[in-house]
Formats: sequence, structure tokens, C-alpha cells
Amino acid sequence: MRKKGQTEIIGLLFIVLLLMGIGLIFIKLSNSNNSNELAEIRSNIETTNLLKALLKVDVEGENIGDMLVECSLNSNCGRARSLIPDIMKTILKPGSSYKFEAVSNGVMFIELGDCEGSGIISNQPYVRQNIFVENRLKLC
Amino acid sequence: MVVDCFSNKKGVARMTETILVLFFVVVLISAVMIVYYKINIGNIKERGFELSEEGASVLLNSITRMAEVSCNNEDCLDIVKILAFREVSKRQASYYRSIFGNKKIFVERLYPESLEKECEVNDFNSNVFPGNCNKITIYEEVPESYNSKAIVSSPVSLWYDVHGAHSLGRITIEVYK
Repeated sequence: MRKKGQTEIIGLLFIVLLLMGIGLIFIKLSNSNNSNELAEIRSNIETTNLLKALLKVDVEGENIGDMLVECSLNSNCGRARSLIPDIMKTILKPGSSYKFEAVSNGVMFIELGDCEGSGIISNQPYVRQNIFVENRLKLC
Repeated sequence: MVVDCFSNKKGVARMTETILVLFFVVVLISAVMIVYYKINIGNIKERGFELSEEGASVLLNSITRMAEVSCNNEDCLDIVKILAFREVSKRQASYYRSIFGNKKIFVERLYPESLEKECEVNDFNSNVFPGNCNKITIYEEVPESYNSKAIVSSPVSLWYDVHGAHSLGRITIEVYK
């Protein structure tokens, strides 16, 4: 009779501990989901701002956005191909990677960086010299 | 008489058992409540930290649109305006403290690279500007003691009117709590 009672108490204790464990895991998980969402929003804003600022950079009187139009029109892409990786290397944290793509008339005329798989993507289209260029930056 | 004594002992034993069970139940509930509140307080602190980061992110975006520092028709920060604003914010400290609070806001030039140094008015007047300095503190109000510091930053385009050129920079807000 006494043994049965002890077993029942141990069983009850086990159930209470199990419920406590589940409750704690639930509280922890419900909080961590929120932080991930915030981090994602922040990364999104950062990627968009980086792409916008990148296209405005002037180096020795030449603008990166104009260089891309030049690259699209005359396949003169050497300067953009050397400058963009240089800028990205300066601004990105060590260990981060990127992929920069520029498309005009459905043709991808420049593709830089080695970020494959999932990442935060931002698009920045613009029209210069009657040329529509769509730029895409992905940060991993 | 014998029967009475026996039933009395049994009753005491049952009462003791009930008291013990009640005691353990109360201890268990208290333990659960303590653990729950500890976690909750931790979560609230974390949420508070996140909210201050969120607030700083919103401020970061609004600063880049503030007439005092932003370019006229473009999405960028004007270095000349920033240098002027730094002086104005010092002179009208109480007004800007009511807007920004306990924060440090600064801008760094990242590309093209320049000397790692805080920019002063003398540096601005130099021929080698902006190559002679890379950082401008827009606003600084750091409390003597603080519990936590949240840092939020974002890339930004910087406009150098003297050279008529854009550079790539980063605006950072440090929030002190």
C-alpha cells in the first residue's frame, strides 16, 4: 500500500517536472522567434541602404551607377569589376560574403561575389541615359 | 477505548500526510512561480533592450532625413551640414537632448578610405580633406554610468560638396540605458 503511494507521488512529481520543462521551453522559444524577426528586418534595411549607397559612390570623378550603365552599353566593365569587390571588402564584416548582379534588358551583364544559398536580397532599379538597370545585392 | 486510540492515531497520520502533501504542493507551485518570474524578468529585460535597438533603428532612418544633416534632394548625408550641426547641437544641448536622449551618433567614412581620426573644423579646412580624417561625431550624450549599450548602424552615402563627390560611409547610434 505504502509502495503504491510512493510510486504515485513519484509519478505526480514527474508529471509536474515535465510540465515545468515544457513551459520553460515554450517561454524561451516564444521569445527567440521575436529576436530573429527583428534581426532579419535590420539585415534587410542594412542591405538596402548598402546597395543604395554603393551605387552613389564616386571614385576619381566616376560614379559606380554610371560605370554599370557604361558596362551595359559598351561592355566596358573592367572598372566596375575591380571597384565593387574592393568596396564590399571594405564595408563587409570578416566572414560575410555577397553577390552583386546587374541586369539590363533581361541580360545579366555583371555578376560579382560568391554568396550562394540563402541570404538577404535587395533590389535597386534606376534609369540613366535611357537605360534601365536593375541591381541586386545578396548578403550571406 | 482501544478502538478510539487507534482511530485517533490514524487520523493524526492522515492529517500529517495531508499537511505534507499540501506543503510539497505549495513548495512546487512556489518553485514554478519563481522560475517563471525569473524567466519573465529576463525576457522583459531582453525585450527592453530590443525595443531600444528598434527605437535606435527608427532614429537612424529619421536622422538620414533630418533637414539639419541630409542632402537637399537626395538620400544622403551632407558632410558640411553635419559639421555645422555638431556645433549647433552643442550650443542647443538641452533641445537636442530632449530629442535624442542618452546616445552617441557618429558617421564614419569607409570608402574611399581615409586616416582614422575624428574630423575637426581644421581638418575640413585642410587641402587633403577628406583624406585626413574619417569620423564625425554628430551628437554625444554619454551618461556617467549605464547598464547596457545597444549599437545600431547602417551604411549611408556621404556627400562632400567641396569635391562634388559621394563616399560610402556608416552611421552608428549607440544607445545607453
